[in-house]
Amino acid sequence: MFAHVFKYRMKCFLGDRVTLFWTMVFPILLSTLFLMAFSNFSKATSFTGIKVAVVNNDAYQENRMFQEALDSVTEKQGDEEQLLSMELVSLEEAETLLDQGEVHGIILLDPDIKLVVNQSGFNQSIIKSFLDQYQQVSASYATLFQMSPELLANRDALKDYSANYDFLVERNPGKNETDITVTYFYALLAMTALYGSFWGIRTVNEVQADQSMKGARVNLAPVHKMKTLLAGILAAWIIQFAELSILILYMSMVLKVSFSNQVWCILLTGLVGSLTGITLGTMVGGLIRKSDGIKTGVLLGITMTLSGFAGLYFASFKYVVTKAVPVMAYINPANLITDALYALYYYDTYERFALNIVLLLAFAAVFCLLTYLSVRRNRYASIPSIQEGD
Amino acid sequence: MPVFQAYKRVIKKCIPQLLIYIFVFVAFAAILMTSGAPASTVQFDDARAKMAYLDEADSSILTEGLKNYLLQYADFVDVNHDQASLQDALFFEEVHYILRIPAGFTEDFMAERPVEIEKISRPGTTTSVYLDMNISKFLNTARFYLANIPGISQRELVALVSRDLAVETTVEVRPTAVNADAGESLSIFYNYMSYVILNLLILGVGTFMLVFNQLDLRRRTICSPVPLRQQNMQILFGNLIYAVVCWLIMMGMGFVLYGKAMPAKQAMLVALNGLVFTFVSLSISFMIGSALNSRNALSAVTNVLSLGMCFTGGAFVPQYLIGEQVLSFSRIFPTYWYVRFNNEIISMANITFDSLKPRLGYLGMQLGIAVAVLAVALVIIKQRRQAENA
Repeated sequence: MFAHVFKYRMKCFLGDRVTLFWTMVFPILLSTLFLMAFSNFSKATSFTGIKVAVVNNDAYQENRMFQEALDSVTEKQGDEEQLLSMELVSLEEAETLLDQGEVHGIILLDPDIKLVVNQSGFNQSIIKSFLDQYQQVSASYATLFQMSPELLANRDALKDYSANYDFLVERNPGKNETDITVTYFYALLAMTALYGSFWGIRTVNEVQADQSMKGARVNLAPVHKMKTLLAGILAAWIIQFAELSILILYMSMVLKVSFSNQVWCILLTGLVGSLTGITLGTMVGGLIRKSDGIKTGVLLGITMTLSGFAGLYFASFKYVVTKAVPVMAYINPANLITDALYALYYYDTYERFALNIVLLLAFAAVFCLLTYLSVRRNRYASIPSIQEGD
Repeated sequence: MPVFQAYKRVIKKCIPQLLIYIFVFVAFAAILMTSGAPASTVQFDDARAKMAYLDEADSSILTEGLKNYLLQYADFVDVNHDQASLQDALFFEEVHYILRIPAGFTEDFMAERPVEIEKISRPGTTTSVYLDMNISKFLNTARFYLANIPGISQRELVALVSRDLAVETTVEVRPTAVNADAGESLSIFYNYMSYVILNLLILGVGTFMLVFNQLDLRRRTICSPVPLRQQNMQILFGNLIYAVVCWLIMMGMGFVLYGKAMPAKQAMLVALNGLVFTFVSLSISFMIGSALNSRNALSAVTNVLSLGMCFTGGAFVPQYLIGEQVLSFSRIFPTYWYVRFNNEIISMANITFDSLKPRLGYLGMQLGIAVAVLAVALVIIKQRRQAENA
């Protein structure tokens, strides 16, 4: 009997174009839009040579030392990006370039070095740091010769200033590239998993006689209600998991979103996440005995808020929220799903991932229990309130 | 005016749904307002990167000197020192740079033994380049003195280095009309507004048209004593009033929140742009309303269209983060021109007719799109009428 009900639940669900749209087509479209929106993101934040206009006047022509210093930062060294890229122009041209936003700043020798900019910012500050350094090195030499004049006479004893000594060693922050944009896609997966709740609502509506005509008919049949409910949940779970897998596949194959390479762990997250989503729906559907529209509205509100806290709208919001209210990291299913994927991507260890999965399962269990309590043992003496929408 | 009265009643029923968009927008604007105080425009400030400073050896005079010096270039952020917290902070951009001074650093440095300081940052970002530069400046200057003045004490060393590094380049800041930071939040606010306007109009106008286009209802209204021409005029009147009211609400919000931050000329142009965009949205809504006949389809199309246009046009994510190809595609959407107009007007130093002239074309593009969409809508209506009559 279970197999029979299950088969027909599958058929019903697969014919539900509206829910299929929201749980699969819509996330696919949205992920494509995300990709488009961030298509230039890494380029915009990564360092590219800063553009300066250098005013070509007499003071500049006479100052050989400054020219050499400029050369040293504008020449390409190996495959490293050069610090500055400069244009040698007249003062008027330089001002036009600045006004049009073609350069970040103007270097003017007047005859003291002067920097002209139209706003403060990192690029402008880097130019200033370079100019500062040029003058500071001269200051250092001056101080040194003042303190030990013998060095001036005996140049061989002098150890030159060299900016090339590298004290800093770079360490990798995480297992993969530090790329905040992946959070948007992970949060979108979390949202999709929670959209599984729309299947959940439908499942639970159609086993309760006072919620839908189909429910009324189903309740007449000599099948245990829990059997129909479980068959429905199982069908919804399989469909939702398949949809989520397609979405993950689409993201990683077509959109080239970075995931960790532990495929099985990612699929496990999808499997558990879908279950949590669907049981969230069955719970809300069971507890709220109002029209379908209200249930959907409530769920939409819940999922969009939770996904928002997990970083769907602003990736760093996930971090801000969990830092301000640490418990939000554990009680928000959307955050658990996002965080599981993030932990796989960025961490070397599995503890955080495992914790997320366990908590998701716990949520699913609680949702199941509440669904069960709200649906069990309902008898319907009369069902006048039923309204048929479809 | 019975048709107009009916229009009002349909809109009234939509109000809860419409309010959701407005409330979310208000919340968003409130968050935007609180983030970041505007920087001063006349005075140049060195940009500050967010940095986590970890000193494993506890402080020495030398490292304290470095830390004090870095205050000019970095804001120190308190982060837990465990690996996971540091990784998270870097990933979600709470810090740009983590500097870890190893135990024994000061002794090794003073003894001129090779030393290494560990840094963790997102490789190749502007902030990383900036801090690298300034940290090595300090350490290299110190090394220069250390090599040339044998037996110098830490205190003398720090004093000398700090004095040299206090030499600064003069910076002149050319003023712009709206300061860059305030300008950015203004742009974000008005650009996001396009999403809200679009949704308010599609939902309101679309719902009304769905109701009025029901076949039976239409047949009934056609045989009423109100002439068809008059009916259409009333619908048009209703649409226009509704559009203008939406526009007024949005502009009112903008005025309350940002009235002070924007010069009058700019404010008027941005408002004009908003009005033009409202009319484009109206014609899009009109088309959608005449093409569709179910609420499910309406909400699907609303979401896909509005999110699609806003993401690719740069309403959510600044246009410079969006790739060239996407942007050249999104020129077919009014959002692109609306956003571009706002960005350019808000960042313009002083507006003259000459500088404004090319930008008026952006308004023209929007109106052109509006007319094209309206033409499509009329064709759809005509075809539907013919299909019904056949």
